[in-house]
Amino acid sequence: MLPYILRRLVLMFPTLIGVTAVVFFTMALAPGGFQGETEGEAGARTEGTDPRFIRNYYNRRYGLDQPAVVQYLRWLNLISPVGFATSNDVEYTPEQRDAAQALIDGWEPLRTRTNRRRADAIFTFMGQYLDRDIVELTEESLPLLTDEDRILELFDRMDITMHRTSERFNERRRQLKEAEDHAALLSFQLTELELEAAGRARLLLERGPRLKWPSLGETLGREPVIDRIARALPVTLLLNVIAVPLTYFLASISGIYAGRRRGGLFDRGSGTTFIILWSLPTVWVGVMMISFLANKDYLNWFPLAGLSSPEAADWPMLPRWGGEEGFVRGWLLDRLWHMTLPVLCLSYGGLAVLSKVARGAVLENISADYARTARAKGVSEHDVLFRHVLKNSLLPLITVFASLLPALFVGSVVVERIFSIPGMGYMGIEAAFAKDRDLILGTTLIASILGLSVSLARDILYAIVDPRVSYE
Amino acid sequence: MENRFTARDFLMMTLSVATIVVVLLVWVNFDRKWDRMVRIDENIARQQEQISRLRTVFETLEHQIEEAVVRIESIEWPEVGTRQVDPNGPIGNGEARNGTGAQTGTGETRVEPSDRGTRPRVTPRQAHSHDRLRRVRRMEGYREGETLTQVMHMTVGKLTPLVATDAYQSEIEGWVIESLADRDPETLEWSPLIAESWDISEDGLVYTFRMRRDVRFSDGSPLTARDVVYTYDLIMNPRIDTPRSRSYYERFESVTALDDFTVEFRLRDYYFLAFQFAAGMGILSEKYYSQFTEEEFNQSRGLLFGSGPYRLAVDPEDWRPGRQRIELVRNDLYWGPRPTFDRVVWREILEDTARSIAFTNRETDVHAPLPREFVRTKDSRSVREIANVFEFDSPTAGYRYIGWNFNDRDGNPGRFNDRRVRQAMTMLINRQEMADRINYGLATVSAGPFHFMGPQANPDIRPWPHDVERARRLLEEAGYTRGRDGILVDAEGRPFRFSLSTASGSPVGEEQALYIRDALAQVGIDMRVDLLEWSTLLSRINERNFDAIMLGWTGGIETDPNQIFHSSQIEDGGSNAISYSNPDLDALIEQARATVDENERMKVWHKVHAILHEDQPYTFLTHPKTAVFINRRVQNVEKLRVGLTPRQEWFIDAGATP
Repeated sequence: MLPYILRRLVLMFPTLIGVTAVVFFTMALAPGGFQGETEGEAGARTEGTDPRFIRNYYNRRYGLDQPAVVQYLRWLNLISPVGFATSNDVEYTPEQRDAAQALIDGWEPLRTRTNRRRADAIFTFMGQYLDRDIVELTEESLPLLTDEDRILELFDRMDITMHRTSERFNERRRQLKEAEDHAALLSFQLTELELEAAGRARLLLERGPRLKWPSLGETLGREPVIDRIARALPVTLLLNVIAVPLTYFLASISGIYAGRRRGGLFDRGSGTTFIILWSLPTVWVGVMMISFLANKDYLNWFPLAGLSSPEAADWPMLPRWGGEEGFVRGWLLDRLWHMTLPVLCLSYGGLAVLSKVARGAVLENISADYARTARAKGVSEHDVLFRHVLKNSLLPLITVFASLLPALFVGSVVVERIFSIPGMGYMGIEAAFAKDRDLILGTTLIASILGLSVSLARDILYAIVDPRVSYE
Repeated sequence: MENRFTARDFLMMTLSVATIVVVLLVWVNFDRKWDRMVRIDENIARQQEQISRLRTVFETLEHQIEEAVVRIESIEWPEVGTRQVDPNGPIGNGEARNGTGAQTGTGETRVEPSDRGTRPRVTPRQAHSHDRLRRVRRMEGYREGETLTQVMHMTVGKLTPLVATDAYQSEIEGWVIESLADRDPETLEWSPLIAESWDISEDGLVYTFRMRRDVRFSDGSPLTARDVVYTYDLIMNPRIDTPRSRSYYERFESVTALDDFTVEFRLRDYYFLAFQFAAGMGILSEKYYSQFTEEEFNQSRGLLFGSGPYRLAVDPEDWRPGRQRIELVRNDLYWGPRPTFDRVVWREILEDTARSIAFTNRETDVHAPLPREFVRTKDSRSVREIANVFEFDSPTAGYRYIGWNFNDRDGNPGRFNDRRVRQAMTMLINRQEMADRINYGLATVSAGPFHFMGPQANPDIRPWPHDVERARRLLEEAGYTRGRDGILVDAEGRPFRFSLSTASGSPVGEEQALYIRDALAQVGIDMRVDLLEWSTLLSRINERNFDAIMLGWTGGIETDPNQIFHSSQIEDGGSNAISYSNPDLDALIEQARATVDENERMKVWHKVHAILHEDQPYTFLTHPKTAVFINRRVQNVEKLRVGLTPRQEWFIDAGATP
């Protein structure tokens, strides 16, 4: 068993790379690439903002103008626990730090309270643009910078690799050059370089790969992707942790009873009902639910949107009676009340498939030889069903569960949108429309890791439930 | 198969029962603590209420004392008026001078608190932005309190000013952060807010704002000229992720604090919108924002903090998106008149149907329906009963257009390089019918890039008529004849075929495109509709890879056509994607941008408008109208020149709840 699990685990890596690569290159090579949404909302563009300025900014900030392959490899390096350091995360010895600090103190015009960080930053991108090791550079540039002519020489060397685009920067540089204000010029130029460097820090390939913290990158809104996911995931989980067991419970019970009396009234009735439910689109049902069950003009039984009432924060946890206000729902009940419609919406569609699966499995087993033998031995019908048949009917349900679980994490785009619930589904669709590279890749990665682990878990479960299955 | 109840089973049962009981007890105890906290909270709220009531009393007293002092002053020193106040609007306008002059004549005066102790100087006072609020407070039936609930159709992920990009963020920011001056919604003139008055140098390059001394941020710290400079520095700091704002403020050479309450904006070259940038800059507190490094600022979510009448209900540092609502509360330390609402709330409802039900459920006070929904429901009982319906044109509405690419796809002059063809295209499209039928009447036919209600529009210009005959003649003149299959062919025998690219996903846009296709087919023009996903469309525009595009531009009270129509914006992916170039127009645009005097400038804009009308580089389709339902309990909502009464001037009469 263990070698099998290990083999599967190792095989996960190429699969993950494959999945993310397909997603990345489909997005990157589509017309418009990753640069679309940075220019404003769909349908109307805003006057007064020069799209070029903003486009350049995003290109520099996120390296969006680099070749797609480079962008993807950089992302792989970012998420890998073993990888190359970038020139942005070099750490300095105290001596280097002080040397840099001394340099900064020499350049007065830097208006900043965070000189120390700045010193780091400056050396980071200097190294990156000069394609040199930072440590070397620090030692070398100190004497270099004392001589004004050499400062200019340093600029020239930087200029070779620089991709200058902003008019204002150029103009300002020209002014400073004319004024021969070398200190200001240097600091100005460094600022510009730093800006450009953010999205394209140099990988320190010569240092070799090493262990590091994996990261999922940043969204276009400058939020770490992992935080964004951590915010959306619990919401989706909460909904599904209720919806999935509910579906399973209802479906297996009705499936078992339908299977026991095949062709009976319950079998036909439940079968028809579930098929009808299954064929109703969630969009329509969701809208109908809020139009009729949450509308003051009809039945105002449920809330319209969101996961809790605004007042819920001031309520106690449990419902209570009496007191000045009379009945107070309490936070818990309020949350459940808000979740009723979304959970119903999420679960009704699965009933048909699951109950048919359960019914089929029960039917197959109830007429099997071993069941007949049990009956012949005098075991009661009830015990045959619940002790023998049921256990053997679990297998197909596990299979279905494994394919259901990833959906549980990815969330339902439709339901989350209709009930204004900020979960994974809504986040995913937002990311795709905004062409938010890191967020899309991060979500894809998490979803595929989940999908693969669940399918592994399923195979292990098979072996546990059914002793006939073995992977030796 | 025997099931015997063993001691082990008993132990397990006892343990699980005990666990459940403990959990329940913990729960109950937690609830008891909760109650206690709620009581403490209530006490604090009550005390705060008392404090703010006291503040109102003080305010009134202060006001009365001021008035008394002024009266005394005017008796003893009837001719004192030492400080020159330029009552003149930023974009110096003769009308404004007369207008405010008249107001100064009413003798409204105020004493500068700074001069207390010395001989008080009395200065004639310019109509302050708060005068409108004070007038509202004196209205009959004025009521303070209640919660104004609005709705958002998307998730707002970030509230931090400068680095946030959502449309709703700027709306929310407007309640929390204030600028030196704002536009009067009726006269469209600038009226002072944090500034007291300002001077504009003769050449229009230097703006000097004298600021009020009593403005405080919501933590009680004073707002000084240093905060203005700090804000400017923050915007210009390349490490702050605000490329959009930076592109505006690039035009300034420097912003300096002359003293604690005087700030000077210096422009590099004159630019007519620069005053708007200076006066409209939301001022951030140096004391508050300098706690954060640039990186922290960029990555922050909810650092919304200012001197405005409302503040975030939670500590800005604790604000997180994804709570389905954004809540502001009254800033009890507000330096101006006491804000009206207890709370201002934006609810996040993503689904269209849910938004309209929320409105008819009386859960939200304001609802902007989709055009189809507006027409269908505005006379329905459920809406009429509870809502006031508003439908109006606003000069800031922007416009929809078809841009004709002057070049073909290889970059050589194409068929739309002929003005007659473009005029013909415009006249072939019945824009009035489009507005009525496709936009459900919620659009007005456009005569050019300037909104007909705005000052830039040339009042003599009417939209091109719908005139198929005239269009036919123009096309004939341009050398088009009808080919054998009924399709027009040009002099070289090439059929008149092109595709109109527009964004997919908007049913209205698609319908418009199909309507235009039919209209053009009637004279033998073969137009294909090319629906493209938004980012694909943008990249096509940047590559100039289209025949014609249908899109929209957002508007403003005074806009700058330079970006869209000046020939310098053709190269390098600029916004003049249709490669339109007219040296006369270029010269006029440059002239207007450099004209300081507003009246003179408007005359030049009128000429610009005339050229654009004649050239028709775009077929200007329609200006969208605004449609909005507002719950009847909201009072003082009226249609003004730029739209509705500003929301801060609304108040809620709970008794009028339908």
